Amino acid sequence: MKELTRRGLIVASAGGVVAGLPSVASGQGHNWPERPIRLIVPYPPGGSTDVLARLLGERLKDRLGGTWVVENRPGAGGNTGIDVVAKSAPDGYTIGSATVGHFSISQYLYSRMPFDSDRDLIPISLTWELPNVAVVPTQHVPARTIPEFIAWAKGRSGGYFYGSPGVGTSPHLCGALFATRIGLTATHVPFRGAAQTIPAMLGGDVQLAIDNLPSYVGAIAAGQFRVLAVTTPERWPTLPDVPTMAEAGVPDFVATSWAAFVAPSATPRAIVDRISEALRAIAADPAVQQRFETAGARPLGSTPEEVREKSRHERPIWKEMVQISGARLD
Amino acid sequence: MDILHNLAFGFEHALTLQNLFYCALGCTIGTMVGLLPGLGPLATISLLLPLTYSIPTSSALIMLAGIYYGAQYGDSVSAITMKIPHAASIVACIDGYAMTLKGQTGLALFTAGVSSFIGGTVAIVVLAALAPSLGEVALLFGPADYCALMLLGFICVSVVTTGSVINGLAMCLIGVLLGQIGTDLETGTPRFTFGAQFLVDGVSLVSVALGCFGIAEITKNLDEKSERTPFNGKIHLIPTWPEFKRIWPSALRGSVAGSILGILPGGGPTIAQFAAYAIDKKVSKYRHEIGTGSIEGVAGQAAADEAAARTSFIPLMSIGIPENAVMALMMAAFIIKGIQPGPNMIAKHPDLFWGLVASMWIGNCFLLIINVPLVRIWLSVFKIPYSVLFPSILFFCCIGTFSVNNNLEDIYVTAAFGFLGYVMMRLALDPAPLMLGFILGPMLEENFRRAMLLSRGSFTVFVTRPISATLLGVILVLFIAQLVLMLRARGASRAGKPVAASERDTIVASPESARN
Repeated sequence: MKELTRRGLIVASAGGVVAGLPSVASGQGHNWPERPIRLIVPYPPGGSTDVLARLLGERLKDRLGGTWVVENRPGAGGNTGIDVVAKSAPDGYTIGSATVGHFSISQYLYSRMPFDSDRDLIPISLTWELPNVAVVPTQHVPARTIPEFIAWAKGRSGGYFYGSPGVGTSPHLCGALFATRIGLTATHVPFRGAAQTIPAMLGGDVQLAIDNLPSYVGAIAAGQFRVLAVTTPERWPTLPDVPTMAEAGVPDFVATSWAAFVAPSATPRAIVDRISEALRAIAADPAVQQRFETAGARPLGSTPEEVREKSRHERPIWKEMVQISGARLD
Repeated sequence: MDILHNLAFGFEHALTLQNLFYCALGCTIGTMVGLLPGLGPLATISLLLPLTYSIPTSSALIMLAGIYYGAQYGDSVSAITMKIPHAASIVACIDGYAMTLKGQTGLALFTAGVSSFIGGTVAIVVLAALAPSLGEVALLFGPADYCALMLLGFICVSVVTTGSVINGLAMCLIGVLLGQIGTDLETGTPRFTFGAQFLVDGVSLVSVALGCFGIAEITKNLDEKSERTPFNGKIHLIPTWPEFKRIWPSALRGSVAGSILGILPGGGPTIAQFAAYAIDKKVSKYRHEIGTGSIEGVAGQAAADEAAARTSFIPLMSIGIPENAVMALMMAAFIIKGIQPGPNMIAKHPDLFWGLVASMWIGNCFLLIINVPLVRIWLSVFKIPYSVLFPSILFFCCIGTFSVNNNLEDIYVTAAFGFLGYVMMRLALDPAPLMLGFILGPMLEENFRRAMLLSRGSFTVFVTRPISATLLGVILVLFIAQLVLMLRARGASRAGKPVAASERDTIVASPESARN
């Protein structure tokens, strides 16, 4: 071990002598960033992950310098893009915007995963969280609270329909868990995103969705949807009157969609820490908080270890949800 | 009066020097992007989104919108001159390219330009007059109704087919099968992916279209024994009055079809072009020429394309629902600027909405000004030796395919479709119905299954819903009409007048004869 370190030092200093000092420095990340940084978003442009990652990329540029280029690599429910990150050179120039799915859900959904989030990736910082909200179309569902909804749904023969943006997504899993918890029959109707779910709900075909808040902000403001509960542990700042699931009578139902920036696991710790610090500072910026709030999200900042802990902590509930929903992807 | 007032308000915003500049910039970028094979507005807008962070919201929107509708016209140019389609100009490859082979490229481009202008103008009138209330129309359509609409679309197969109808149907079904590749939405089961990760999300429309049309055509040209000489003939640009009279009825029909289909989520310009073409083939005075390179085949498509591109803003602006990927990106642009699109947006930000509508009309004029004189420049493409032109087209095709998902494997998929397209061309099989099947098939399946899920397996939903019942009625009438016509034609041919057969022969033969 000692031998190795010494040799490493000799090689490093020799390299420094030959190429002039910067090479040692760049190995440690002191000169980083020297070239554009790829911020890989594993979803198509225009979604909430894309929008929020772009907002953060702008702020990171201001704080750390360099050019932050958002690169959309959609595919396989977000696995393709994060796999690209996992297999990139660990030089601090490839950063990925991962979500709770990559850390705590995918391993239960897919029989084989192209990467292991614990082994192949190092988290940088939590970046944001957004609640899933239980929404009903105002025109078609009279219920104002969860108990009212349960009573109303009991009166329908065959139960109710709930929408989601696809099999295995957090709205699908939440919808399945919810139906189980309240003990009612419900049928899952998968769509290709909230842009399809919303019209189906406004048309009265689908009665409930426990979907990501951002897609519904506009429609909620216009009174087209009523929010019955949020899935966060505490009430959500922009929806102060809406109870949490526990308050509404559905205990053990905390499921937020959170996100974190990640890098290939061998990325120099110095670089990871610099980005992590910057992200924490950005999350504390009131202007950023306000911008995220309009979009239905809340900026977060944390240490890499806190991300790891959160992802481990949440695995049991997501595992349960995947089992209940019966979702299986390959 | 209200509309005039609002429009005046909109022009006030759109006519500032800054907004005029961004409008012109957007239109120019859009046209350029449209021209480059395979590159679409989606990749361009997502690339340029960071540029908009530092400019005012309305200017940013005006520019991005300009890129989107500017690209629609540019699309037609590459389809007409080189048979390289984009998602929204597949139909232009049929008649537009046939006109090029006849040496009428100039006329075809002029027709596309003027028709786009007409389509754009009609759509803007629709947008201004009805946008606030029309968004709701998208909500009236349930899964069963979409299902009926897609079935109606399949009727178009017999129309877009230039060869034998049986071959057309077969190609359409191959398209439907190709559309099945990927993850099943309802169960998450992968279908026909053979374990390949890059097929999990299916094959992209861009890959299929570029492969079957553009790359196949290039390969065929290389394969030709006789050397194709670059085009040096006299350019016939401005149409004669009788030709001009043929443009506007088709363009108007296309505008109406495009405006309506643009409002409905899912289809937009991609489906509108087929609808416009089908309508013309049924009702145009020159319907017998369509398919052989006629003005109508270009005019209707170009107008529908342009109209649909503009009315697809309606659901976004009036109810906050993005109906296609480009609109989702526009929505992102709003959110990044701190504006949440939704039902309240027009009321809350009238300057944005009316400014955008007014800028669209200004952009329309810009496009006409930019494009008509530039036709001569586009035509000079044919003066480039093929040894340079073909590799560069292929190069751009690769970039275009890559830009969809930033994924290298997509280029291999496109290459595979290039090979398939070449084989089909050699077998005289027509790729247009394949495209139609590929576009409509998955939408039909998805909506059919969703309708069945929601009705709990009862088929009555198709006749109890007014929209779906009406559409199915139309299909029935068309089907019976077609049957009667066929029987009558058969009767006539027995009497010694082989109408249908001779017509087909001319259609198949004419592009060939025109080239030689």
